[in-house]
Amino acid sequence: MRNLLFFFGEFLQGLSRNRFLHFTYGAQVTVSLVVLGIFFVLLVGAAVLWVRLGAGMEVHVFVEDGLSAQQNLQLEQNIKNLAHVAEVRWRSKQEAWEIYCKRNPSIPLGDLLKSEGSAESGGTVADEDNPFPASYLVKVDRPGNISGVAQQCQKMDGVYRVNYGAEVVEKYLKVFSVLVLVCLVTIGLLVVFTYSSINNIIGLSVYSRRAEIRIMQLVGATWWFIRWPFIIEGVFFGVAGALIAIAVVTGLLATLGEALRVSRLDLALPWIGLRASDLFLGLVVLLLGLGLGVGFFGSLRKVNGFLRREAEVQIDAQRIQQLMR
Amino acid sequence: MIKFVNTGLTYPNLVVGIREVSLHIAKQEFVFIVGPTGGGKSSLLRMIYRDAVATSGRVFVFNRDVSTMRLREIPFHRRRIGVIFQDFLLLPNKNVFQNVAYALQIRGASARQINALVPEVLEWVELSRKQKCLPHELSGGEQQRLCIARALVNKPDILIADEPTGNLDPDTSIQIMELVTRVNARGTTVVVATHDENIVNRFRKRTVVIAQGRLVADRPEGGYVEAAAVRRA
Repeated sequence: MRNLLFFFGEFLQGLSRNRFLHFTYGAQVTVSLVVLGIFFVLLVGAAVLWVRLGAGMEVHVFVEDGLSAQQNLQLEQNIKNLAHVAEVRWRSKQEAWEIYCKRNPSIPLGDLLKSEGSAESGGTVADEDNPFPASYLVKVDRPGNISGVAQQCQKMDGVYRVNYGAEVVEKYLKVFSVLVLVCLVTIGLLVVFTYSSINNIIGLSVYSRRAEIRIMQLVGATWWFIRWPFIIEGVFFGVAGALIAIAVVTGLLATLGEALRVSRLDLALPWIGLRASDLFLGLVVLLLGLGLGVGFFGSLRKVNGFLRREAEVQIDAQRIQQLMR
Repeated sequence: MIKFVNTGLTYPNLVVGIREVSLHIAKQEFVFIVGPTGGGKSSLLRMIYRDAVATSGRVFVFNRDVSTMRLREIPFHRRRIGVIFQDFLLLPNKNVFQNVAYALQIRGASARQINALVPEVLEWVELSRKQKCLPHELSGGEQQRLCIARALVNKPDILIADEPTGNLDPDTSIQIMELVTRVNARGTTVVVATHDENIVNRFRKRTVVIAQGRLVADRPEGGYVEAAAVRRA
């Protein structure tokens, strides 16, 4: 406890010195983490979009007219048994007719039909007059598996036709895999950039106090005694930078959400639906973890660089001893 | 207390610092190490506080071979040795009191111990009135007295002084050396590296002459002698 207070006092003294260096230190950490946070939000946004769009995709397996109940049951079972199938739902001919009528109220399809009911009213229609086939709506576990499942369904007995919007799915897969890849690579690069930039500034801070480290060593300070004030400094700037970055990014998100709401864009694009609160935990874990980790390990690594001189003296001596033999 | 046995020190750039030196310094002894600049005086001292490691022979301090010392043992070894330098090496942002207290804090001393020991040692080196001054507000002599206070506050068994009067005027140099002599009188072994002829002749202590890394003379009676003169004789 006594030592902890001493280290904290040393850290505070260190802060009051080299104010410009420390300001630069804090600013660099914060800016790096803000940029990283923004890219994280973009990645999560892309991932959410991917999942939500993917969830809406399904294979329409149209069945031949006149299948018996037994044959229908067998077909449903066969589809359910396929790999990657998440959900199978039956859509009767009548249901298909009703959906068509709801979507196209202005087309007078009823005139063409002999039986009662019309498109305008969305009423019933006899199966023999109903041009729409019954179908199974098949959802898959991941959008990438949709075409494989569709091809397997096509080969089954009793299947009239399969439709899954092949072109849309292919484009969707292509665009989003590129988007996710770009975001992941950028985040990876930003993590490396953030680590190295914070590391460099820590290095400058440690370098500016190298004489002090030397004196500490000469008066008999242990390595950990020398390290702690620097580690506290690194962790302080890492955590403070992360907290500011979290506030800035969540503030930006909240502002963006409000702008979307005001402009009614959120209604047009409901799948955007990303809220600051959804991302808050992820942002906290990523930025705080990175700030803390880089602050701690960066300081440790840089101070060790100076302390290692002691070890090098011994290693050099051993090397020379070997040379002289 | 300190024993060099056929000790050699070659630096990584293969410059030879010390060649085959054998020397024994007893407990409570006062020894001057003299010789030309670059002759090996500082190298010899650095091996005592394990800032350099012998590349041949052995160096014993407190009956322990310092060459084989583990890294984690070094700080504890240094706490038994007080070191003062020509360029003082004080912490510039700490005041007089804090500079001395620092040597106690690294050992985990309590505030009570610090408040008792620091004023005592500052009184001893006559810096009581300047406790709140920063090092740059002190004269050269005062800065060196502060170094001595820092070195003494842990009550070391050995005091090593590497050119302690190198940056001081003759009168101040004598004051500093008188202080060092008083330290020795209290029972601390003192080793002083210097090329200040006046100091060596005035204090008349055992004098070891080192030149080109070799021990060229060991004069128990003391008194300065040029390495070249020793060689001629």
